[in-house]
Amino acid sequence: MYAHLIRRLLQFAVVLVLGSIAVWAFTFALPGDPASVLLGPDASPAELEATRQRLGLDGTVVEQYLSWIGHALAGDLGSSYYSGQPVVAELLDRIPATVQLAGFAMVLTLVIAVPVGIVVALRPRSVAGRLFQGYLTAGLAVPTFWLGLLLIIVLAVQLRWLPASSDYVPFWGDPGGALTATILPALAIAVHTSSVTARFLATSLGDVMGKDYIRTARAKGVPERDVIRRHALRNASLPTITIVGLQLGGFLGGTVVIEAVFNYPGLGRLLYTAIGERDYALVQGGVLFVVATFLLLNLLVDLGYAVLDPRIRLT
Amino acid sequence: MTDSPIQSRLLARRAFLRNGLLAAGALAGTPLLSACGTGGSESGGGAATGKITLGTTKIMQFDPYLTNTDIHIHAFYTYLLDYPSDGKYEPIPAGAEKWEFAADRKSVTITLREAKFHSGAPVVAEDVVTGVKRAQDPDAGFTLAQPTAFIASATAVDPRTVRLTFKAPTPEPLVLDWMFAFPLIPSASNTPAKLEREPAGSGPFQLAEFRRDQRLVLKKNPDFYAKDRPYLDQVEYRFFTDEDALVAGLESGSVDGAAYLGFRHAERLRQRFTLVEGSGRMSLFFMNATIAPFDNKLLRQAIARAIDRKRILDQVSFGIGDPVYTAFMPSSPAFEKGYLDSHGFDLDAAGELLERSGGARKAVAGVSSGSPSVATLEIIQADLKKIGFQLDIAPQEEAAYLDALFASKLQCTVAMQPNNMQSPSLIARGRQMLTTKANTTFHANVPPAYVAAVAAAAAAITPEAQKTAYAELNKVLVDEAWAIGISTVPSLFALDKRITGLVTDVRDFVDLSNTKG
Repeated sequence: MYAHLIRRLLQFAVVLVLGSIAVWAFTFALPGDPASVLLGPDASPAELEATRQRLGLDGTVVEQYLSWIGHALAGDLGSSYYSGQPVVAELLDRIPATVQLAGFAMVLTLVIAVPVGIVVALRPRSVAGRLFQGYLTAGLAVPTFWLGLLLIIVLAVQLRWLPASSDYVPFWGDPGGALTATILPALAIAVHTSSVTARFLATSLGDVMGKDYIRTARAKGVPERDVIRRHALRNASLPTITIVGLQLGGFLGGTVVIEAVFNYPGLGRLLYTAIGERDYALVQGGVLFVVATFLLLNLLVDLGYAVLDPRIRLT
Repeated sequence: MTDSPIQSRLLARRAFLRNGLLAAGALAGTPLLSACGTGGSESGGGAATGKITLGTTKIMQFDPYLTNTDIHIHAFYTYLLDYPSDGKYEPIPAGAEKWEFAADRKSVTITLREAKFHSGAPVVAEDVVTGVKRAQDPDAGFTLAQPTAFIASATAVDPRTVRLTFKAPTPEPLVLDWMFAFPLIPSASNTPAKLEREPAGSGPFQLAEFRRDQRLVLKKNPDFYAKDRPYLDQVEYRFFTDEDALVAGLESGSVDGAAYLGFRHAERLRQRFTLVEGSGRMSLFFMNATIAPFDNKLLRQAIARAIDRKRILDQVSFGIGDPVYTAFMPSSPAFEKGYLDSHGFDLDAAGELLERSGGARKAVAGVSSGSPSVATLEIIQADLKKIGFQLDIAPQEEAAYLDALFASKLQCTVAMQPNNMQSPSLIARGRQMLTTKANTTFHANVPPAYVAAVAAAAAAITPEAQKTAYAELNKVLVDEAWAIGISTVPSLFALDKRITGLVTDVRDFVDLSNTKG
């Protein structure tokens, strides 16, 4: 188990360094001058040059990367070109909003996906099974941003039940306000992700139900409900956990479009704005955080495998 | 029965999964119940008087010497004088209480109003002197450098009186335009570094909160010189990255108004909201005379005749705005309507000029992707095709587009130009219109006739001399044909019907000092 953990941690570090180099290279490949965006179209060439020097953009790309990675290893991701605030502070300001949205979206995903997946796997020809199969097809086919706009038009603009644009309201301070502000973007995300998750669950559960040990359990007289809960669902859950882990990682850095549609002040929107403003320091720090989070979640998924399936620990 | 350690772990895991699912169900169910029960719950906005929330997609900058973002700058700063928002150039005392020109028009003596900056410090003549010095340095105050070129020096006569001495006799309209554009800033704060993130003015509102790409909150300045204004206690600008999200926010009541909207929303919002049109800017087709094929003047003249302003106004601007032939607003004293006929859309004339030019018949237009300029270029592209000229359109993300534009890398583009107010010589403020080698269209080859015409317009004192100078400036602009006017592009605001008094000044800066909500 420890060897497994150490191996995974080493992989984590290597991928993180490679990811940071890739992000750096891609960011600098973008056309557009940060100083020009920062000072606006009326700034003079002298002002632009002075700003480039102040931002440390006058060195070579390699020099800038080495300087940045050196500071990053010491926990200093630099300061935002635009706001002047430390990048860490900017990220910490947005991470709670993103975590809250991701949490809500994941809860909704599981609440929808688990029963839908089970019904589709076990009762595919029932009315509910057919309806749910239709939901899975629609959920996968409908673009998330389009569904978001539809939810806004119906629930916010027409019915006025929920706000079209969402502020971040901390859950622990105002649970009702937090739910009201977050439910629409979370639902827009969850419809798609629940369709993916339910499909995975349905497929693996369908496979498991045909296994010998299920037949054995039934032959032993174990009630069907317990056969499903104790034997089938547990064994079918491994691929589902994988996809849930990947989706959670995606939520933490990849809800840019939904955050833009709902004007939600999360990490994705911050990075989107930072890219538009060529705020390299913030883009680097933000993407590094997203990559690290994604890797960490992958690591947790792997460890979760080991917990759920002892055979993995032993290999 | 006693469970073995392994069974205990399994049971604990099952219990954890079961409890987790139950908790997840409860958490997900709560918002659904909450949503059903809350009816019209909304964030922000609201009907409270004294506070309004406006949505915008614009980026904020706080330095009035650099910015041309126009949504908040008039809230923070007092300018020496104001013009009414109806486009007339009748000066209204603001930061300056009065002013008196010398008989020879070689100086003006300005008496400042007794007022305080947001910091509590009094507004004094030395602040104006410091501001003029910064404005005279093109490297420190690019926006004001060209308009300030006529000033030789500024002297503080006493704490509330400042005298500006001109390099030569200068027409009043030019000085008044300069006073209208000159913000009062405390000397100690008047540097790009200090104003970059923190405004320091004496305007009707103070900065209460600024959160990057989330919100800018302004609070009433209790020491504003007009004692009964502003009427609003607080104004919140909420930033949207997407214009459709902004409109949805407006329609659902999340914000009370939407600022600087695209025209495509106008018809839909007209019934439910008050639509306000600001003075706006002008849309122009620029050709880069330093790059082939537009180093050919006849070719530029040919393209100028192939721009169908009416169709662009109808199809791109939805009928909002007026046609212009170069960078003069219809309210400018230099605007000559006749040029819209004599040099207007005529494909036959364009074809003939194209033949005579003998130049290449292909060019690429750079443009900011997603902007209405793309649709404008598509119309121009279709018309040029009819006369045998191939115009390719290359949309770019905005930062990349601006980079290419300022580096003179684009062959041609459609871009905006601000109002030149009542001094036609101020046409030479923009980068494509400068009279120096910093001109991004000509570099060191700015046409001498243009340089002379701008100088003459800036020196014409009498009405007769002005008439002659403005006519010559028009003639040169139309002949050189690098900045082809298309139309005015008014700014558009959609406001909750309870909001009144929101206007933009002639620069298109939002003026909230008379706004009620």
